[in-house]
Amino acid sequence: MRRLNGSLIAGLALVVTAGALAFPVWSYADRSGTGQANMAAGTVNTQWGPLTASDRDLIIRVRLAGLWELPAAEQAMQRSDSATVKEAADHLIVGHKDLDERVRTVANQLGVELPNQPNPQQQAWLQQMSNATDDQYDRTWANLLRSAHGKIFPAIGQVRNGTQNTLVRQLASDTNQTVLDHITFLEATGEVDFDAIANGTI
Amino acid sequence: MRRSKGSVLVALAIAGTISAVAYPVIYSYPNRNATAAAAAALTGDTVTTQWGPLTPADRDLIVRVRLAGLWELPAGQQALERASSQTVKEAADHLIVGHADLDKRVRIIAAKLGVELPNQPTAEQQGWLDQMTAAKTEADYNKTWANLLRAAHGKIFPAIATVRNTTRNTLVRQLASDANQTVLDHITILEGTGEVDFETIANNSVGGTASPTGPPPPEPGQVPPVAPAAEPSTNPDVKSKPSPTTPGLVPTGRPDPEELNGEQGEPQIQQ
Repeated sequence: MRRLNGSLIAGLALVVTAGALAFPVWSYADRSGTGQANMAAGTVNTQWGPLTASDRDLIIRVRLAGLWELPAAEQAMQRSDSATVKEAADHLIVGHKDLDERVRTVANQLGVELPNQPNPQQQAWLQQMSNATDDQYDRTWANLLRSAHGKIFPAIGQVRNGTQNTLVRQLASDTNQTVLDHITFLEATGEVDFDAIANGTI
Repeated sequence: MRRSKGSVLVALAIAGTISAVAYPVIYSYPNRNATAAAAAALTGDTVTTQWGPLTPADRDLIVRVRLAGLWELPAGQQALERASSQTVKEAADHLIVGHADLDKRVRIIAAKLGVELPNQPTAEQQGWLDQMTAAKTEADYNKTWANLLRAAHGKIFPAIATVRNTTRNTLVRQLASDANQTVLDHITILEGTGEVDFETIANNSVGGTASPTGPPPPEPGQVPPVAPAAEPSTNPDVKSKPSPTTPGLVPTGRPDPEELNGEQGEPQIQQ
């Protein structure tokens, strides 16, 4: 009996050990050979071609961009004294109004549900802008927006290359144009901290 | 005998355990060096220029833009001669005009920054040109031509965007903006041929990330050899613009999108 118990414990311990060893292999999202399987798993077919998870991610992100950047730009129009900040804000408003019209049409056609509120991170950025003192406002404003545009820019490029969906393809092209325009105008304010962007610390 | 069987089992178990522990670390994790390489790309071989720091990732983009011209100009020229399809000819026209323009820009920038440029396509690019040349039928030619070029443009497109975001060098920043516009134009016009196999492109676009390495940094005070212009050896009749708009400017004045209306109906998802 005693011996049996010991074997049982040892056996259980072996199973747990083997399981613990196997887990990291199983859980590693980027493990080789699964990229295509992952892509296929989240894909639905539409009359405009397959719609993948990364296609939908872009749709949502374009929508979210409008949701927080439009209020951010409107705030800068009121608070900033800088002509270049106001000009960048002008571009943000025109660009994201246009993109939002497009993304809503596309999401409607594809049946993708869109958020109607900025996400918590974006709300925190808006809060940071609101809380900034007058002499820090332009810098805070330009860097938070430049950082967000810079992060989505390569992601748009990836979707533009990899998507099989004609609506998403056009959306990615349009978004590329608008985001590059915004990046350029935000940089023209002279407030962008390029070291922080390069180091990813904003 | 019984005892030695047990020992064999134990030995096997130990060997299995050790290899299981080692497997994810040594064998299966392809991106394990990406973070270190990214950090090295930012600081490792960065040189200071009057236009801001110049990183290996910056130099990599400069060289890739040059290489693009070196193989796509002959590819565009060949298509003008071989293809009878109007859309292929139009795409070839855009490639020739766009890469002649980018090549001019990249040679100026490389000279200023002291980056040595290659004057021959890579072996891989030469292989693509050979594949095009070897295509037997007209249909085969158009398909091979459009897909090889579309795949190459699609790979560089997100890489350009990454450099555009992170570079601290003003010359490279402008080059990345211009390359972004020209490459998007080429992608669009190549897709306009109707020959692009999107499924293959999609399947090849998932997977591991490449770590940026880049060519070696320039020697301070040393001017690299002048790189000759990459241009068509004949004088093909071309008329399109290098980019959708004036390089350096990005248009947002697109026509208004369709408004939401009843005719678009319900979401169309096919299971």
